[in-house]
Amino acid sequence: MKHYDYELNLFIDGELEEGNGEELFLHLAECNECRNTLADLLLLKEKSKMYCSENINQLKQKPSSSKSFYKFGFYAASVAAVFLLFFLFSRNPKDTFTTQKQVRVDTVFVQKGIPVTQNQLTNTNSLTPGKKELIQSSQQEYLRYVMNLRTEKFTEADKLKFDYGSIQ
Amino acid sequence: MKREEEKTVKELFSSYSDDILNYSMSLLKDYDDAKDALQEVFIKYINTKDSFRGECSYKTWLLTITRNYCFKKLNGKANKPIPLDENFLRTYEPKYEDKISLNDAMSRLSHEEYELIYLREYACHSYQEMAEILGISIDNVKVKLFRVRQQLRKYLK
Repeated sequence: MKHYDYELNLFIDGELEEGNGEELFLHLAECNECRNTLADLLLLKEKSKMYCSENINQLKQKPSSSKSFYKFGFYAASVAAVFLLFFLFSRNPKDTFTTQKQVRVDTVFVQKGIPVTQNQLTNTNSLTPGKKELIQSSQQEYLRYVMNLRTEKFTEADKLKFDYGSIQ
Repeated sequence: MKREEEKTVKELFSSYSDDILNYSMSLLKDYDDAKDALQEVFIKYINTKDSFRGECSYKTWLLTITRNYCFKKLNGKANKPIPLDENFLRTYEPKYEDKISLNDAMSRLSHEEYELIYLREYACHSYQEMAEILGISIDNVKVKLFRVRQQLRKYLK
């Protein structure tokens, strides 16, 4: 017996041509299998509609990926900022370091090519009481004084400023 | 843009924005992408409205633009859904039940198969409208829809 699966599909969509309707109904009255097919197709139609509807609602309610990205970005930036601040305040400043044009000794900037004593004399505010007099009395004595102070921390900056060989 | 044209665009947007959004969402599976699609569709409409010959309705034309945009976007994505094929039963591992539910089967449909179901069952388009949107003949729509339903019917409990 011929079954009418294809025509049933058209029938449930209301797209069956008028002439074929009568033949289909006569067949349905006799064929149990086609009646089951019709029931299945109607159920499938209903479930498909529900699935599409649920799917769209779920997508609408789902948090957007861009929002999640910005949220994650905010937390990452916060953590990075905390670490940055921690390192910034916990780290001790370097005692001595050199730059291209300047030499920094403690907190005193010294220009290259100028004897350290002269620089020190120009920055007398940074000197402790007594040092100024010592520097003014004798440069050689002052240099020895400085060398004695920095026996443990003799840096590249010191080498630049002192003629180390001549002192010894 | 003239005032009349502006009014037309506003009317079209208020009438069909939901349809376009839902259709693009059903294809792209992402709300943000669907919103982008909606915007792009109306930009495309404004740029190409002079080429509209009136052979179909505005709705159908806008949905065709939506479809073209979505598939262009989908082709750029690497992970396409696995089409429902004969090996589906063997490759699929059900999580909770031995029997595959209809929803699982629906989620495994290809974009082309799913949009047939969406356009017919959810958007309630006629075969004529579906044929215009999909750019195929009515007979082709009938056959394709029949095949998809035959496949899905196997997973109906």
